[in-house]
Amino acid sequence: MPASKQFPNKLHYILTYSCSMSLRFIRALWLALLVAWGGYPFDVLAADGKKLFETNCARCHYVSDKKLVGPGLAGVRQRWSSQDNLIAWILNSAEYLKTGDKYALDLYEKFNKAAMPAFPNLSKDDVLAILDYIDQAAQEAVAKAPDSVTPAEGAGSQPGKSSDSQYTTILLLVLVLVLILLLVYLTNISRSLVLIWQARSGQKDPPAKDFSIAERLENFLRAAWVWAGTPGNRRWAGLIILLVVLYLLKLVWDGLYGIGVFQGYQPQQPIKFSHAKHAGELKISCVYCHTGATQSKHATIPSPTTCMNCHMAVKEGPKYGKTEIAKIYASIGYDPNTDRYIENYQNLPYEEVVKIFTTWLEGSGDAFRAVERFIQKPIDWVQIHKLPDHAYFNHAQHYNVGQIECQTCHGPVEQMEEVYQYSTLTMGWCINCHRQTPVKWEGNGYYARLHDYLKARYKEGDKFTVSRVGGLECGKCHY
Amino acid sequence: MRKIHGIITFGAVSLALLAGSCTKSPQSPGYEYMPDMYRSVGYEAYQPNPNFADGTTAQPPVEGTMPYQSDRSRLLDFMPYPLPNTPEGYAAAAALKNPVPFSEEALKEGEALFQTFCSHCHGTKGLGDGVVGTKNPALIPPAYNSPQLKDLPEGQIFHSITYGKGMMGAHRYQLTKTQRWKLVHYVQSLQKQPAQ
Repeated sequence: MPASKQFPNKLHYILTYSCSMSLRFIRALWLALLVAWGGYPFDVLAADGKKLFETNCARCHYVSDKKLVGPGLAGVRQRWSSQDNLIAWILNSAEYLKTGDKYALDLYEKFNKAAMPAFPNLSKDDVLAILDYIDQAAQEAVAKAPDSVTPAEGAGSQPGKSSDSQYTTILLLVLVLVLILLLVYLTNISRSLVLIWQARSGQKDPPAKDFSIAERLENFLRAAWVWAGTPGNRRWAGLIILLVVLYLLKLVWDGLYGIGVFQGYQPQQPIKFSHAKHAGELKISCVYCHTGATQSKHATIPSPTTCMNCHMAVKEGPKYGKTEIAKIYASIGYDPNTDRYIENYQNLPYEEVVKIFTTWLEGSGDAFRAVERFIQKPIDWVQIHKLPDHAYFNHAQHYNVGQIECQTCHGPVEQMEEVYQYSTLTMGWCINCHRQTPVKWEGNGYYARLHDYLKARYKEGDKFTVSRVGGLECGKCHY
Repeated sequence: MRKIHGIITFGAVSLALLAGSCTKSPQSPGYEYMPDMYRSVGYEAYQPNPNFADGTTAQPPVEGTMPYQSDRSRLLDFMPYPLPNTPEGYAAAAALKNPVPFSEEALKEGEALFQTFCSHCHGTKGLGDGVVGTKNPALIPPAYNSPQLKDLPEGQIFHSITYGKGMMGAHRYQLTKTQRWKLVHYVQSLQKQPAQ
């Protein structure tokens, strides 16, 4: 059915469509603006000091006494003459400087006049929440004093990074301004369209019809078709079609490249084991548990025996209580009530084992149901990093001879609550590393003879990457 | 008209699907390229295995056996340790002598092993000030140079690493015998530190 039968003429049709659509569009735009603008205060409303600190302060300040861009904030309350002054300073430091407070002026000088941005988004209560959090965090830091080294220490000690947040604010403001202008513009257009409609049709209101999604799409496509058919617009229409086709091609291209690349894979593990806790906070070496990394192809998943080295004593965690650790006990056969390994565990009647764990977990509630499936069973960890069978990789070779840090490939595991695949593990990624990484000869017995030979053969100071000792040969990994 | 609607809906749905397939859930690894080349026909070390009673591929070695060693120097690692994990065994261990001769190299290797396997509880210098102890007071070990440990014979150090002692677990699964004896060399050097 041609469009001209439904609508008396093209303009008529465009007007009908535009009126209903542009009103809808404006409504949606207002909503989006409200959400975008309101999304920020939603966080603030929570008045959660830690969160506020992390979003507003953490880029330039540590809670400890270490300097970042700005001073370390431990004991900041005690340093200031009064809390009210401190709050005024935090809310708008430039304004506060005008009062001539000597401490503030000295601070300003000391940090190379890198002014702290004002925080119009924060209320006095918010600042109080932040200050409370700082006190609390500083106390906790003192409690674990000798080893609490902040990882990013020294990384940002030069001033000048504080402008980052200012740029973001300015960008946001500009964006909001553009949106408002657009709104005003569209409101005007829609109003004049309604006026034209009224003048032409003699009716008061534009047709209030509820379109289905398919109808809306059809209307849009029709309007687009009419627009594209107008002689002056042909070139633009061609350009838009080209861009859409290119975009779709890129989607397909990216999709194809993603096949076999499992980067970001983060499966749920049977036990909520936190690497951030064990490797990060407690500083247990990776190899302590993944012993095989020094000796074999596999880095090896630690057997529950390794867990028991500590968890004989630590029977409850700070986060999940008894549940997660009880899974280890259920698997290995350890009775946490009596602190003994259970004799002949694998052959013990199931009911007896259930009795032990319902006693320990105080009933057969949620905690027991989570533990139940581990009774007399191995822990079924989910493999994250998987190379295809046709590619050979050896951990020991990379750890002992290559002297590669685990984090080079696995990423900052010591900061991961839940481990995910950090690298792409594609062949290009392997090859690239082999091309760039120099062989570590120094104190590396494995290469002593080869090194002497190569030194004699090539000129001194030549860069020997892994690729020059066979790191690019197909047969090294595919055989 | 209905036909056009159908085509449009179909187009929209397939576009949405195409876009949706690009945002990957972290719970799913994604698509594999030729799974028959990805997955081994033989059992991998950590694969479930229906052929064994406990359903795992990785099986403990049969008791009373040891692997054949062409490298004589590694024989020590697999020879059985005769002393049992009992108070009597611990007492008898006092008479054991370190089969790994002392050398700077052994000491250095012992130190590296110590930093990996012991320092998080015992502290980098064996003073009992490791990070783990600061979080869990139950896991603070005594210092090596304390009166109770500074004269501990090497055999009993070895025995303790092997079977564990007090709150410490058995480390024989993580360390070979040679490694444990090298560790003993390093621990002995820490015992000689002057007490503070």
